[in-house]
Amino acid sequence: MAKILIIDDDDDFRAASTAILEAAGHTVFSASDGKVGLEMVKAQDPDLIILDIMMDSIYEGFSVITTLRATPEYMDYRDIPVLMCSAVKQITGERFNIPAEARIAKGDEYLDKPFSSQELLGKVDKLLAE
Amino acid sequence: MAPRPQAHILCIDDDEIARESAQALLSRWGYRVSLASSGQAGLELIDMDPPDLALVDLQMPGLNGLQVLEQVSGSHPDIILIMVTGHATLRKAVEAMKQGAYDFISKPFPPDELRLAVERGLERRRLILETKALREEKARMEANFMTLVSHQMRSPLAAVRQLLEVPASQARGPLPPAYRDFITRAVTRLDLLMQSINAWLAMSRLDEEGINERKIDVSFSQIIKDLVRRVEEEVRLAGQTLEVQAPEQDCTLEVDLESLREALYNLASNAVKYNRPQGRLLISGRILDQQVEVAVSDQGPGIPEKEQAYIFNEFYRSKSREVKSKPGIGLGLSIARRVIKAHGGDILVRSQPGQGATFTAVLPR
Repeated sequence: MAKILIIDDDDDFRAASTAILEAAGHTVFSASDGKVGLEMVKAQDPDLIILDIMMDSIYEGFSVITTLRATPEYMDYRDIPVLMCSAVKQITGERFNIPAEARIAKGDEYLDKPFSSQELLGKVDKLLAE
Repeated sequence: MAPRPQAHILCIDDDEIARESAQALLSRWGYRVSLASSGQAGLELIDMDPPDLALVDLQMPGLNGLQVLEQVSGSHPDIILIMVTGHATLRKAVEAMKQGAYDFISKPFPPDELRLAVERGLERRRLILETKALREEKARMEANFMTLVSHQMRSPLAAVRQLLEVPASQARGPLPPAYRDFITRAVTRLDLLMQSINAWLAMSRLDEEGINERKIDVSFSQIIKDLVRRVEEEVRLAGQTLEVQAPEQDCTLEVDLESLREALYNLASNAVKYNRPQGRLLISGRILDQQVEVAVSDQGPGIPEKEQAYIFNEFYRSKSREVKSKPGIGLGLSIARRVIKAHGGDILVRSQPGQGATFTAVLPR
């Protein structure tokens, strides 16, 4: 079973996702903003990150992923797969001018909120298998 | 009642006597008056200090009245223009009216006639401005309302739905049967409500102008790939199979990617919804000379011919048992068709009862 880090500013989403993932046997850590989330990446070295794109602002989610993917400080963690999610339907690069590093890269997945436990566990299993 | 701001009237006439007599009358009636002795001078004044109404002599050397009319109705369409004609040339006056002048009067005009024409013209101006202000106000309110709905309502609803997912999926152990039905019902109602809100938001974003503004160049095969990627999980969860016939070549289309994705997804997700159990979903893309086609076929019960004319209507849902048993609000197809039509295309439906249905979105290249 895997170590999963959830970065989401919504308490209810964190609680619900944590319950579903723990029930499936995963160990879950969570952070309510990008800064704490990035610190936890180093502290816990998770197998997978579930990242809410639209936290305080859309840029907060993107800055987490750009930091993770493109700074030397996070060199050792840049291959951790990320499951991005958002309640804003269909976040796409075209509309929000997403920095290239933050686009849904090979090995990443995207999920619209709210998601069913099947959808969540399906994506998680897929990312962990890769 | 607060005094109304003084109306501003511009008189464009090459005849000095005509200008001065108009000025004398109009100022006496309480209007602010500007004078211009040629069409060119008149246009300059209109740019610097736009009047509410202009009296324009038809017969002038240089830029004549009709030419002034043409320019002003292009640049300042809400300025009221009254044409003044010296020789009672009715034909020209009629032509001016056709081109957008509000009224005309013949020289020499009795003061009453001028007064009446000006008063009526200013009343018209007031109505035009009022309508414009109301329309702007309405657009502002709609925009605010949309923001309210999308941010203040959708996020908390999504959170509620996510919380309900824990008992609904029985993640923490089986739910006592006495509660199960209630959780399931709550989830169903909430899902429908969220679908309505999403569909309704999508619908209100769909004006052709907006779609044209957002158009970008996109590769056709990428559009098909996106669609497949988005629907494959749904197909798998429904226990169906997916077959994709991608176009052999590729081409670039100018589209509003977001709304087009939504439209094609609506077609594909409908096909999954109404497919027979273990049925096959076929997504195929074709490039023709003038157009491209994206076809989505299912193996469901099909659509009776007499219903095919109505399925694109907003909120239309078939009375058939197969459709009524599935959740839905009857907006998916109408949204899809609106989007495709705004792109200059159309959606065609082909179906034989009992043999599935094929929806084909046709887009110009």
